[in-house]
Amino acid sequence: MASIVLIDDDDDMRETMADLLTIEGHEVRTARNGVEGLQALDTCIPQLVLTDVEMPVLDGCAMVYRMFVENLGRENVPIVVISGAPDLGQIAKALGTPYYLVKPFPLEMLTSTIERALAEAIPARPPGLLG
Amino acid sequence: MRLRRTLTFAMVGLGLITLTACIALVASTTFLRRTVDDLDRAHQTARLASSLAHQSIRYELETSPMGRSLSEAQGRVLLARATSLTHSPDERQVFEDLALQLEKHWRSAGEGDPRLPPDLVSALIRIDDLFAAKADAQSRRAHTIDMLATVLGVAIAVLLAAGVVFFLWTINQFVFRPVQLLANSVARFAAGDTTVRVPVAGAEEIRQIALAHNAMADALARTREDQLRYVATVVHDLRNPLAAVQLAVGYVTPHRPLPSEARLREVFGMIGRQLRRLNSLVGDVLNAVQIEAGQIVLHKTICDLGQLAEASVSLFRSMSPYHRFELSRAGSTTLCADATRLEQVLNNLIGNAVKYSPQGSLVRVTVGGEDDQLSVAVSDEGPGISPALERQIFRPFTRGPSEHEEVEGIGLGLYVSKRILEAHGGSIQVVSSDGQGATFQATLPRDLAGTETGPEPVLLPASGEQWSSV
Repeated sequence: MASIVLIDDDDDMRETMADLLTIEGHEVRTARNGVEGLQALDTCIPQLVLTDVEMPVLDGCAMVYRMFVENLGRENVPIVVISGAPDLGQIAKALGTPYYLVKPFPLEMLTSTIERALAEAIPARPPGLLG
Repeated sequence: MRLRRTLTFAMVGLGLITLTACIALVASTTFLRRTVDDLDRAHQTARLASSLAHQSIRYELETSPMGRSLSEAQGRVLLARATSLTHSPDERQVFEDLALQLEKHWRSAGEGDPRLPPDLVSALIRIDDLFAAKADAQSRRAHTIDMLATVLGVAIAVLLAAGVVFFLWTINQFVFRPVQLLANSVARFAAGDTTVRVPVAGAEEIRQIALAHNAMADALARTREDQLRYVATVVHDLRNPLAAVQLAVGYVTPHRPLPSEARLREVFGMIGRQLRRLNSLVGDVLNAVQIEAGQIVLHKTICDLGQLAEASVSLFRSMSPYHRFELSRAGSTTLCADATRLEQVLNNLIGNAVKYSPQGSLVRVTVGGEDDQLSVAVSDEGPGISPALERQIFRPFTRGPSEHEEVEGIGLGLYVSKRILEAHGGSIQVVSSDGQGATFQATLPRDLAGTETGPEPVLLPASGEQWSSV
């Protein structure tokens, strides 16, 4: 199936999601914050990034900006942002990604969003960074 | 412009105008009365002079000595009455002349000359002229006073009317209109338009009311924003554990084989953990809301703060084996307090020290008792608290710097702790500098004189803290 990097600071959430996606047949690598996430992206560029928004050290938004600014091929990976924030739609818009999931969500919604993101593969384009 | 000063000025102004009017009225009537008196006197004197002239003629016509004597006596009475009416030296002078001429006339009686002597006639004419002139002068004076009184009356009436109009205009401009605006704005605010602010206008006192109302409206708007943010924060924090639980349901779906028993146990363990987390969050929120509403209930008993600290330290020792703990006690640490609530405070302070300091560092808990006061201090070797954060660390939803992973909670712990300590009559403060750890120092009254109580609701005053954002 697809190679996915999953970034979430909540151990239970991260492990459960990773386990379920592995059962679905994806190859999942995990990270606990934005810095670890960028390292995971450096190791091998995945087909999809799933990231939480509020995280310690480097949050999801800052990580996405860095993916774009540092421009090492990572900026072309589609990104699904995941959060319980009430304004997640606005956050996703600010990041320039059409894919987001508001917590809580059932497994089916997760898998269908991943399928859609993989099929369309629209990378994030933060409007503020397009000049 | 102050309302009090304006009213005082207006009243003093109108009072002065009225006083001037009264004085002018009294003065003009007094002058008029005097003029009338003088006129009357001049008239009487002239009348007496005329009678004297008649009397002199009759004296001349009298033939019998008895008749002449009688006529002379009547003449003397008339002269005496007329002289008594004189006021000024010139009046006295003309009457003295007349008296002289009359004496001559009476003495020369019977000389056979029936005509009045020319000197007597001249004296009578001078008297007549003098008093005619005086009456004329008095009449002119009365006329002048009348003119003056009329002009003054009209001027005062105009001034008074202008004063009243100006006073009403001022009151309308600085009192009635601003009050009307204030009333309209307050009514709109009460009807639900919370964006409306009162125009600050008019007298100083009304401006102050308007400013106070606007400040209150701003505070209400801030409170509303804080409440919305509070709800958003709570919702966000509740969604995290909910998400993990909902996702775990995905393990048991019809189109997929069940996971192994070991994995299922792990999953259910995780579900249990997340449900406990949910429950704890709900409890925290409820606690904070109850405390904010001033509905904290204390069950006070005699307890030992040292023992409570010991229990809390051993709990965290088992939960955080990578931290070092040091507990020191000095003096008697018994007090009358709600042990469960104090345990909550201790767990919160020690839990924070563990959460915000690196593994292997030392968490030091010091409990000390003095005469009527106990203190407990919890120190850590974490990154410390910046002065900016120190100012708002006890506000709801304030959290430390998030370089530390897996720091749970929604920033209500210190707020709740502070309010519990305040309900006991105690207090809490933080001493810290960036990068050098933090010490939370709480003090509590021993309160042993107070008897143990059953559930006792303690009404806390409003915290006055703004509920800050995360």
